[in-house]
Amino acid sequence: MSEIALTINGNLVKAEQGDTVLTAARKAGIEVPTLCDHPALEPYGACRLCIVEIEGMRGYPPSCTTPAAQGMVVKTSSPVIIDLRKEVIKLLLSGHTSPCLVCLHREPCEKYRPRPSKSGRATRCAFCSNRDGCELRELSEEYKIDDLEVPIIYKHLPAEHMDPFMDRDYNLCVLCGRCARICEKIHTTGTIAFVERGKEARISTAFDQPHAKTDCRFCGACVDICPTGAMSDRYAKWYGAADRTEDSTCILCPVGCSVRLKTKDGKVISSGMTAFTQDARICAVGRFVLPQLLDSRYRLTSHQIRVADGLIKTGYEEALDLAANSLKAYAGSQFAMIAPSSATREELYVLRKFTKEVMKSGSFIVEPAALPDAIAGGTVKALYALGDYLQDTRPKGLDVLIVSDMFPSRTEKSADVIFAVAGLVETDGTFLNAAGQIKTMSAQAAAPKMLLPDWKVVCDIAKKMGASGFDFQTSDDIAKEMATSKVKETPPAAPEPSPLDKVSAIPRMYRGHAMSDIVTAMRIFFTAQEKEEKEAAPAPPAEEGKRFRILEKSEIVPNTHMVTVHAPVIAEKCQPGQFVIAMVEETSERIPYTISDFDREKGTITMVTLEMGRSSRELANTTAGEYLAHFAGPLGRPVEVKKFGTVVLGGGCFGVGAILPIARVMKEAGNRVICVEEASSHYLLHWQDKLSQACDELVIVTKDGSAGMKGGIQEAISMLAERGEKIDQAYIIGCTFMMMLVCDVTRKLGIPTMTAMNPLMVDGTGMCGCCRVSVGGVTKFSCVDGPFLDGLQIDWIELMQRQAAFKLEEVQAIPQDPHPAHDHGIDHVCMRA
Amino acid sequence: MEQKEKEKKPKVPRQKMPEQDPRRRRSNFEEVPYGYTEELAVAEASRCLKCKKPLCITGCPVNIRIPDFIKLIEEGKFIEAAWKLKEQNTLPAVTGRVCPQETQCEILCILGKKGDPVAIGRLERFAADFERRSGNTKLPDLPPPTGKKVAIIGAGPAGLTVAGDLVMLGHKVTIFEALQVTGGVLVYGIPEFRLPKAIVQYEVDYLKRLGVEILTDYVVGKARTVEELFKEGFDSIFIGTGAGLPMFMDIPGENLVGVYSANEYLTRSNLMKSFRFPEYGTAPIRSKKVITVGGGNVAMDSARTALRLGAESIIVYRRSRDEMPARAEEIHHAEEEGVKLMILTNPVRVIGDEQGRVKAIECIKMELGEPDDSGRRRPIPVKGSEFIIECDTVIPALGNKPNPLIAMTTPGLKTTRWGTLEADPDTMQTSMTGVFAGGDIVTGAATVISAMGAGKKAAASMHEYLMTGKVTKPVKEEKEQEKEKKG
Repeated sequence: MSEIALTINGNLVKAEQGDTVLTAARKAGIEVPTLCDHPALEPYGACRLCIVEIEGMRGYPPSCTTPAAQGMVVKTSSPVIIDLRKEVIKLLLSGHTSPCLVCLHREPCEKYRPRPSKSGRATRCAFCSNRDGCELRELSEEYKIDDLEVPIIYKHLPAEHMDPFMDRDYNLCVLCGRCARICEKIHTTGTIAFVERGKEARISTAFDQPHAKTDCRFCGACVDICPTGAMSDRYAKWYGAADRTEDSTCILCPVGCSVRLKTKDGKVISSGMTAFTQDARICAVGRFVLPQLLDSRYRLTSHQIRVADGLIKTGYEEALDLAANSLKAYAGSQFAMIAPSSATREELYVLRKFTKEVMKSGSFIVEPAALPDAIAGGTVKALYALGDYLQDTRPKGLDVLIVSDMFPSRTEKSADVIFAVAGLVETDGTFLNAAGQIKTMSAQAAAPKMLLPDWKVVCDIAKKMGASGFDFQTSDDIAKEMATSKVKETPPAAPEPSPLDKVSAIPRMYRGHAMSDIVTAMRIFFTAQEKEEKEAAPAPPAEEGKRFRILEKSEIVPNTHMVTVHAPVIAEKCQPGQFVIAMVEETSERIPYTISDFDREKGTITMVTLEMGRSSRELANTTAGEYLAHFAGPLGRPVEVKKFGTVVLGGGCFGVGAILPIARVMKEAGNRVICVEEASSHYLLHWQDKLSQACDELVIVTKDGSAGMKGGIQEAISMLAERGEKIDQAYIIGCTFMMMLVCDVTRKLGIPTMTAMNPLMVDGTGMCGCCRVSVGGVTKFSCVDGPFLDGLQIDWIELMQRQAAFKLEEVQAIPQDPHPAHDHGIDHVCMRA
Repeated sequence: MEQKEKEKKPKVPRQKMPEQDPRRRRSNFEEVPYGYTEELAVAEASRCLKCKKPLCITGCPVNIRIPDFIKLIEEGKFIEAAWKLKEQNTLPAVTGRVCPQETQCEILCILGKKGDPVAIGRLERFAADFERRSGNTKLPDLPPPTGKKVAIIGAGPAGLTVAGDLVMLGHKVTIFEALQVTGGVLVYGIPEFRLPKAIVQYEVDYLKRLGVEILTDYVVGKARTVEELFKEGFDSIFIGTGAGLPMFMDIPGENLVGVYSANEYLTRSNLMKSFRFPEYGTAPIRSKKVITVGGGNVAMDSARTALRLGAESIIVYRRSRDEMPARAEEIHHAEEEGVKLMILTNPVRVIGDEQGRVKAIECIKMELGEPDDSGRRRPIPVKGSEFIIECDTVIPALGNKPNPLIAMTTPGLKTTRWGTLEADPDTMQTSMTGVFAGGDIVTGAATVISAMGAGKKAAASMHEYLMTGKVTKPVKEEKEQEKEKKG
């Protein structure tokens, strides 16, 4: 290949014949922004961000698809190009849910809300799991975009949650095409592609089928390559950015793929391909199941020994002593060990050595070999099982049963000693895969409570039994001894068909456990028959005695759900400002919801909620006709209704609905009522008609300025004050952060301000004090003293800290099973600016 | 005479109740005692002298015919024994577990004067469990309906007792419960390892089978007022809403993340089953080191729950061990499981980190001075003895105040200066005609059985009120008074 020379930004640079202008620039260390471009993909020319000026060429060609030529004169960042790129970015942002990028309150928002909220749909950056990894966001910062002149066009596509492991929301998609291209590159026949044309163009599967019904292998490449957050890993998404990345090997099947592990605080949050190539592809288990196995709530974390009463938790030394003492009495054919095939070479070496040299037995069995008759037949008196291999009851004649495992099992139930161990990517060493390659493990993940791997436990037992030759400190020590001894190793047989080619062929078992019992989202890959066996059809809920029927349920604007419940007793008595406690299931939390509307004649209560975690997702997933498990109220104190003069009612997000009943009574009491509705963008505005009817004036504010005034409720109140309104009282309902900012303004203006508290609650009836809030130095219970408390005196920082008390548990509580797609109805009329 | 009877008996020692190994139970929520076997129960029952004038009955707030049911156990008539219990006590499986028998019935047992008293509570528990496990629960014949309707507010021990007694007298009973399940403190307060919730549910189901209607998720005081219930056709109303408002220490740092009222700590675990998170949605409180402040049964329950949730657990109490209001058995169980007691120690402030989370608690040493109003020696701080204990969770278990909801919304009801409802101690009648009250809402935080005792008294007067429109002092008591005068 011959070398060429060209001028970029006044510098003479060298490139190879065949390089694109973009490549030439990058080789010379000149940054050109891109989005659809990716090192793993061929140039595509879709996003137009990489446009440049080239002397003698018409227009502004994309550098990614323009071949570099000898003598070319290129400008990558001339004022014209910069201006054009800004326009390109604005156009891209108009197809993305990006109002937070231009919000006036972005800085304090990110300070006080350091992690995005766990929403069902990312309607804005503050609700987006990809907030901190978003390439659009980086671009908008680099090019200082502070205004969206082209309003966001929300596409109103359903949020897709119906597949295992991944969530998709194509409302965030900017059509860069990376996902479809990587899918095609890795699997040759891609699962996803562009469908429709022009402004209807979007990414989808053939006939819009869920991925589980296509030939998708769930390799996760699309999720990992998406720059926007349109595709996300359901399990990993709310844990935040990883603090460490390292490669290891997935040993859950003989293929033994390399995996790139991302960890946070020692915990694996995701496992992915080491490169975006066909050779590096991995299966659904390697990509999605592995991290969830390690973090399973069923994980064994304590050693146990049997006493007269049953199993008790115990220390490691005590368990070792009991194991060593119990085994001493047996030797030869009286002892057998069953080991998993998902083990490192070093581990298998030590286990075999222990069986042979310490126990003098030839019965070292590596699954999936069938259990020898010796165990069932009563010859074996002492058994060491490294997994759930007995399954049924303890064989007759067995005196000692030692179990070493990561999960509880049937085998464990009759064990005398149980060791909880580290496994899979928590161990180091090497793995001999079906291709005969020796793959390296990196012990990347920290095992819970510093548990030890199987080989270490067996070495410690051997030493307790007085055996020598088990003084290994690391896997490397074992490897050194293996190198000098003549160990015959044969690669395991490759699975047929390969799990890499067919999702139905993914590994199912680990240590004798069905992985789908631990990571239940896997069940969707089972055949219909298997599925039936696993999921005995749940009995249809008995409707008898159920009182709280859902009459209406809709997603009124994206991620904002309205639920109307038949509860005549509550509807008859409730007053504006009060709340209800709802439990969707018997296993749910008791969650408070502000009453957004009620109809005494029909006996209904209406709630509006954002989907923001497990409990609100449960409510968002209900449909009309179903029953809530529990519904109690009305709770809390109603607002004080009297003639104040001019009352401003400010509502944001779920609070928009909540100000409606207050507006009605305040108006009835003779007040001049001004409602302020705040939304991030025009596509989140709702109930303007209802509010207009209930008040004297409705002020609309949006964070991106796409409708009404640009700003928040605080800017609206300042504007009202400036134009001469004498505001006698303000009531504010919305998120804590917003209410805090509004109070900063009303305090300066001297406006008495009541704010609706939304702290954590348990019972909601004054029993527990979880919801306590400091108001002017005095502790109040929001549930019985509130929900409205004096916003000018609230200790907002304390309140926010208390709200964050269970941040990690809130992420862990989110169920990982697929759930229905949310479709908020295309009939929603997008309000134009 | 008593001496003679005693001589006839072979010497059988008080039978111990088999218990779960403390090494095992400190990490599970299964019940601690296994209960008597049939053999142990018969042996224990044989110890009873069947006194002609049994003092034990006088110590029982619900007047269980103690020697009668024990005799039935001795004869192997276990189901009949359960029936004998149920004549007086709607919830024998519950009271057999949580009553402080050592200060009520057993303390009066003649055998206790020279040795160990009969284990009345354990026998009660045995009979009730035997009946439940046999699946052979017989329903009594109910009298013809009286046509009277009774509303009971609060499905705790007092309310359930009133319901049981009144339904047996032919009244139509409806219980209104604010929470999602029935049982009140039996389900939100007392942990599974002390009182399995399945037992409470079984006893509640028994009431339902007798015809008691139970409306959960119904907040009287909000959804309906007491007056409105009368308008809806109820002829008499019982208020048993308990003492549910937690008290805090009123020291700096109490709103830090990591300070939970005992009510919250226990409610998350017991009522909301957070120990089964994430199957259940309510978050568990995961701690490394928990300091529980207080010396009552609730403090013991909290500290023992903390152990089971995997934490190191310490109780801080400002007086000495002798002043601890908790049952001796509970303190013993707690220590046996590994709870540490720091007596004569009082918290001064809770210390937080920059995230507003608890990182330590500062305490001061105390010494005992002269007895105070309660008769217990008053604890006095030792100057300059402040010290710091590192911890991540602090649980004030200092008692509860009465729930104000009903009093706030019922103008006709008189309350005391402690916020409790005024009620006649004999008839449990409140200042409002037809409205009766009992349990912690009248006494302030007390015991399950005293609430049940109040429920029994209230039921008797409510029956009289329903049938005659009047409430008189209990007849039996008058007779007894006369006897005493004559004597």
